[in-house]
Amino acid sequence: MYLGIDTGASATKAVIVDRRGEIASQAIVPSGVNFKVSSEMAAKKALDAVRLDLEDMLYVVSTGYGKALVNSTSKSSEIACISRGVYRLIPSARTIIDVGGQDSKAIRISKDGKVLNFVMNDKCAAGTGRFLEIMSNTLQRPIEELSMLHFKAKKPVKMSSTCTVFAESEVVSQMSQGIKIEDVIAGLHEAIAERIYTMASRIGFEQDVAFTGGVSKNKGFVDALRKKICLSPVLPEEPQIVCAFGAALLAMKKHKEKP
Amino acid sequence: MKLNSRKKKRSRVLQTTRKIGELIVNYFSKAWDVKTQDKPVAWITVFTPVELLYALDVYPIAPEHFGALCSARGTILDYLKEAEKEGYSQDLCSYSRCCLGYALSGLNGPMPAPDMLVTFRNACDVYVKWWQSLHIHLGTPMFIGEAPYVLTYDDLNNYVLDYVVKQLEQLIELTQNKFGVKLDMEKLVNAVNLSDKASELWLQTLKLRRVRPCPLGGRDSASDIFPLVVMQGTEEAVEFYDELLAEVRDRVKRKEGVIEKEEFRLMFDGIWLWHAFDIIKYFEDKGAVFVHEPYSEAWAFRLDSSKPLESIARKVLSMGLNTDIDLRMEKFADTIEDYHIDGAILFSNRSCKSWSAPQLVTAETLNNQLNIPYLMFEGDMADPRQYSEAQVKGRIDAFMEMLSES
Amino acid sequence: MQIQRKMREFSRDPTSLLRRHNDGEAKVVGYMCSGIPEEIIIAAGLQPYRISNIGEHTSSLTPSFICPFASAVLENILRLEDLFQGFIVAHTCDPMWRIFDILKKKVNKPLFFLRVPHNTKNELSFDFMRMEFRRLKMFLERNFVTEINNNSLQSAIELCNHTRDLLRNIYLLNRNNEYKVKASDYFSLVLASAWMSKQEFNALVEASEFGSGKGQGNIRLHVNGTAIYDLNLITVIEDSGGFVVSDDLCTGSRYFWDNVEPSQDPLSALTSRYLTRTPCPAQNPLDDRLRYLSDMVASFNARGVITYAEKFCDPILYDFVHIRNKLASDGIPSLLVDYESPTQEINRIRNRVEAFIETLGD
Repeated sequence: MYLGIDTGASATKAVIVDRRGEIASQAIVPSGVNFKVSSEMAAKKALDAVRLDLEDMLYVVSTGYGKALVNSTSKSSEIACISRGVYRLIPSARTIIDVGGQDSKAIRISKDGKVLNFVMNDKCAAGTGRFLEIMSNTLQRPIEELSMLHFKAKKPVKMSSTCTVFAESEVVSQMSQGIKIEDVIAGLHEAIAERIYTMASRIGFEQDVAFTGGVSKNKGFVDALRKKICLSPVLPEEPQIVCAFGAALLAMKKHKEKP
Repeated sequence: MKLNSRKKKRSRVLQTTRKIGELIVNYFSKAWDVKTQDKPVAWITVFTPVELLYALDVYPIAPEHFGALCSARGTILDYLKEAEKEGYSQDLCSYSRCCLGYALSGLNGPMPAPDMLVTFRNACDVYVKWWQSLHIHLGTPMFIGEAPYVLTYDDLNNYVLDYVVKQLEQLIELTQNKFGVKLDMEKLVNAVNLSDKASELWLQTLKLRRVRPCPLGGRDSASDIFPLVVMQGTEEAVEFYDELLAEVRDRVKRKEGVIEKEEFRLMFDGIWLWHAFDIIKYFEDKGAVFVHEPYSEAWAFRLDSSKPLESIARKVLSMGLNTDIDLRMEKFADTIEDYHIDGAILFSNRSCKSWSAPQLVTAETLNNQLNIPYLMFEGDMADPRQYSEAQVKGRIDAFMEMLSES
Repeated sequence: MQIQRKMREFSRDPTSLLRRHNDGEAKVVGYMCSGIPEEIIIAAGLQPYRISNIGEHTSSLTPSFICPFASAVLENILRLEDLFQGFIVAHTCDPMWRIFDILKKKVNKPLFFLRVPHNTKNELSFDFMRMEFRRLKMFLERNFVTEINNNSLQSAIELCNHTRDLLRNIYLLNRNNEYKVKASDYFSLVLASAWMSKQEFNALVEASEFGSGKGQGNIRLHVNGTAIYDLNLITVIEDSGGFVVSDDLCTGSRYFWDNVEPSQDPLSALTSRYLTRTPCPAQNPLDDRLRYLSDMVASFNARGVITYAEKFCDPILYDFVHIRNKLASDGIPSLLVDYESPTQEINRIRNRVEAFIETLGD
């Protein structure tokens, strides 16, 4: 069995695959402030589910911001892990859009799964999950609720600003003008989708397009992004663990390559 | 008394200002006439000597003006996004992003494709990077001139002036060779005279804003500069400023101001927010009128047709942002006295780093030495996404409350 | 190696060197740009010292959207003003230009603004630049009661040329698919040369040996950008398995690559050197810069290019579009990494650099 651990900005994910590369178990825990702790927790949770110990793992690959702190056989970038995970789950995918808590990425892969090109967000937080978190705080509603409210929107507001700071005051002002929360939410989702679309356009879209990362669980956002890119995206069943799954697959590959 | 409970005051825009729309339409349709006649069109930055181009039979178009126009009309976003898709960062000047987006999306719009790109580095260094980028995307021949920073007025007579004059000669030669035209001296003298005349009229008009109540406000001055920006050296510009001066004189005679009851006289430091033009009205509704803007004055320069090139070179050199900060501050001090200014609004413009970078020092001077209260707010002149209306209006409210209590 | 360790210490705390200059009663003149002719300062008997953004404390006197490098440099000048006798600011980009405005209002030391022509190829630029160099010479003579003559200029030129030769020879060790000098060691050497007296630096380097290192990997990279003082930006590449073999940084080859040609008129020789040196992102024509970059990449066998950009840095952010396109046509992948404070954002930077290097290794 092989273990992949993805230490993301907001959640740490662990996936165990068997020798055929099928998912045997998975776990998601909040990252908190200590990646070492959260990665151990996530690994334990995934291991417990299949009643195994860390010693049973033939190879462990860690990825994500905290990867250096994780006890693993080797480390790899998220770009490589996401690409590998998607290639296995959706072999037809040529473009991947991954929106995580702190970073968003667009990756182009070849038909044999090789990374051709990638682009990541610039310093601004506007096109990432962080933006939604801040807005969810401002609106004092959990993100899950906001995600569903999106579909009730009749007239999504046009957010004039995608700067996180400006958007925050804009949201407050719209709410104070009595604009419906669902219309504000839909407007926010459109604004992020727009930002990501612009970034991804730099490497271009080729069908099929896969959406991954924690923010892809947000149905409202996915709806906005789908409309923006005018292509039907393919979503893995559990988009948040794709990167950890890819790490586990890499672990398998590396183990087999080992002399 | 609470300000927001006050009744909105009536404010008036000048009749002459309303003609600007038509002038702009004519200006662009003429550009297309020129283009269809196979005559050359040059894209220029706004402090480039248009008199020279008119005398060379080259029609000048200023993409900066186009950016402002798109922003005011709400059509800028598509262009901005087009440039951002190519990889131009949102942190770059929005005028340049608009123009690059326009160039990258097939030049479909009011600006015909350029046959030549001309700029003088004076207001900012962005001009150089922007023009280089256009040159690479469009493959159009380019002339980048440079006007060194004027450190003392001596520079308007020494080797610095020489350097600019010689560059103007290079520009003439390049244009002549490129398009097989000849500089028409008579035309040049005529254009210089017309440009000087328009400047004179505009400066006279601006001077009348010293009067209480102020006869010409920010909504007027922001539009009225247009003929001086790109149509210097034309009859139309002179006609416009003639008419404007007459109307403003008439207002002065009738003691008619921009707003009914003028309570505060303000200065605006920066480029206007073209997409949020209504903030001028927002001030006017609170009894405040803009009586001076360095931006409005920047376009006027007196020329001497007996020495056309030297005179044009001095103009290229001494545009506001290209003169030493002490010289700029001296001017500030005079203005504040002459125009009876109560407060200053400083627009910290993300797109114009050249203007905004030393603005906090400007503010200090205003506050500490000249005793003028100021409000500074951040935003972007043309990109509506980088501006928070709610935030800015909140600050304006607080500032006006402060002014009315002092 | 002892010298590397010493240089690293300097690059962590250059102020200690500045204090040492002061203790030795050297008169220190601060400057920021690799386009400032240090030779003229040295010929005046003064110690040139390159002011960095180390500490990365941005000044409260600039708006939030101004290049954080320029802002931190401003802060360092204001903080360390007492240790300098004067400052020279070059007109390269908008923020540097405007920092001069702010300094004019804020410092009490002699201050000089060098108007560098942006057009390096225009025949008029030479005369103008020579006049500006002459004005600089007069400024130094007047403010520091000294005389700069052809002899003192010639010997300053020889001294600086010697420093350049030493640096260039070490740099070339990494050519031809070899990797004998670790880039982070190397860049700390370049930085030290801009902080120490050239005599001391030359002697130290001459007494040391370089080129014993042996690289393991084969991912050779070129780094593009402006001034990099935080060497974590280089070590992050090394840690990710990349080898920086060439650069066009203001704190790298742009500073020393070109020598001053011997001439009867040293001021003219200096003018030619600084006008035609390694292309600077703020200057024109851009075609020269793109060609230079592409040639550099080819001659050092680099497989990819990392462009580091201070957030809000206009020259690099415009250029990147063209650099990326030009390199793509050469078949060379490139990566843009922007940042405000390398120290605080090192993980975000590492994340991107690692992914890029991994793609190259595939």
